[in-house]
Amino acid sequence: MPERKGGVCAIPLFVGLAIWLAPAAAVAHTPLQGVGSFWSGVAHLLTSLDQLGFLLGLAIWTSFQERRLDARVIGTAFVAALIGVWLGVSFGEVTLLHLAAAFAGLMMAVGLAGATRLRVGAAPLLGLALVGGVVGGAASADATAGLSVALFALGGSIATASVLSYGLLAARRLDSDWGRIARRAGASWIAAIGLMVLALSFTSHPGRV
Amino acid sequence: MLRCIVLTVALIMASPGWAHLASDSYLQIEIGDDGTARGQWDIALRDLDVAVGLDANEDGTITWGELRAKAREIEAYAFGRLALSRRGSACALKATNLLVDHHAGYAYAVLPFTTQCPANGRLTLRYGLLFDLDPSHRGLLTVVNGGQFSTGVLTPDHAEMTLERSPEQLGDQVARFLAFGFEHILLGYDHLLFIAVLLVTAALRRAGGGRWMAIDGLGRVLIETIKTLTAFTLAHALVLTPAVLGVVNVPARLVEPAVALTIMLAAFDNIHPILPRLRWQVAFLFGLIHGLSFASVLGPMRLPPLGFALALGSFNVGIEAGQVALALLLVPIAFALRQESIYRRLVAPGLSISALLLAGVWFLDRVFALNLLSLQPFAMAGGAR
Repeated sequence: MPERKGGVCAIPLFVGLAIWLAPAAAVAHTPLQGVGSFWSGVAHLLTSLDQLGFLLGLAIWTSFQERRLDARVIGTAFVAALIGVWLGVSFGEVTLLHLAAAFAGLMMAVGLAGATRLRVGAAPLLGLALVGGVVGGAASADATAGLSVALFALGGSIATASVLSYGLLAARRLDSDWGRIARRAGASWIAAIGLMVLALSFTSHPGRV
Repeated sequence: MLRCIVLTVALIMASPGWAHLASDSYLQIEIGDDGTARGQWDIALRDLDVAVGLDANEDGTITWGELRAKAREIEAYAFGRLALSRRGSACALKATNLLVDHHAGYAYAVLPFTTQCPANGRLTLRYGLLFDLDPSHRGLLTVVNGGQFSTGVLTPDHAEMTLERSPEQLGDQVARFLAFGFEHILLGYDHLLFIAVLLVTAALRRAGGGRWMAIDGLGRVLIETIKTLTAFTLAHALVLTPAVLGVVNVPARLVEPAVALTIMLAAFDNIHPILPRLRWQVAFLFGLIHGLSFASVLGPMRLPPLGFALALGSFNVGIEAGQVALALLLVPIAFALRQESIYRRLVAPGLSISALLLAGVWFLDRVFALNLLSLQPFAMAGGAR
């Protein structure tokens, strides 16, 4: 019975999280100009729960692969986030809605891959890290107004690498049977949240990213 | 691909935004028993140069003549961004003689002023200097009201204050200067770069032949990092106190290049060992120099001993917290990548070379006042330093 109770509670929790994460045009965070461009980039990523969800999902999925891929995934996401901010600033006409929908799709993808413990070679993993980094970076480009884009991008990229590193350090330590189950359960939550964010991104619900 | 990362970071680090100096002004207001108020406002010439344009002949030096010629404009600009009111009625602010003073080697315009306010009621202050140009600017306020000292840090989010006679809560003052120290280090990119240079190799140790080897265990890495950061904070806290009290007075034109030199040495040490093996010793030694560059921050507030001690202590804790924030960001990356030979052989040395080059440019810039690296709109007025 307690399990059933938990399951019932999880539904509104999922929906609540999804609504909170759901995009609304131009409700991206106010840049924290008082702390400068670099830390604005850091803070922007750390307060973007959809990006954190994606990175955590990516870390979980990577933790089911060979350890030698860790550094490559971190490096790819770092460079991709830099490129993403630059692309977002250069091609500002990409709407937040499309980016948010794409990001929700990526959350779903890494979540499902982690939940199913999908073992693939380096290319798909690095490809997803690349696409996720670029989309995440591009989505944060609107927060660079009045700031140094280079420093903002560097801050966001270092934060991306840092979050991935924390995720990998934690996930690699959960190596017992229960640890593997916990990782897969966490990844399935990320997939579920991604699915709901994706659905909500096509409604007019005024949530926030 | 990791080569690309190193190159990208090197290019970004070479961008002009890294040379930002913290922008502070010092506002002192004395309120008499009869309710009259007078004050003094110290504003850095480098800030006024950006806002008003002081260097008429653009030779990089602001002369007394150039400053005098702009006196009216300076007063209009500054007092247009400071408002005192009592019971809803605005107080007239009247500037007296424009003066110049130096705080830790930087030149400041000193604007003494008197006020004419209604006799009774609470005095309210609204501050808006430079916020439109630089949201990271801070106004450091000291109020003497009937013998009671109180302080304030005026920011775009907290631009208004009521100047009351009741004694200031110690907790408020501690929180205010803790936040100020935290923000101050976050914008001190040269200090942050120095710490980053130390942290790039936080998860590595020197083996035979000077090669880098991975340290086993997160615990050991964290302990080493905490030792390094604490040694750095302890060193600049030790220097900051006598520097603020005026016991040690090293001009900024010596301290600022020395700070750049510490980064160069630490970065070079990552490439080829020249410094002591123990990183905390390096951090302590160079922290003494970095502390001197913080000295200009609290000294001009002219606080009484207890208020000064509290402000200084809180400021230092805030600085330590800012360093910890950077460490929390960088150490997991260094730890996750430490086993990769490409990180030890290419990325860490590559980042150190980037830091070495950037600090080298800073060094030349600060020695020769070349204005090579200035963050728009806040350019350093070299001659005014």
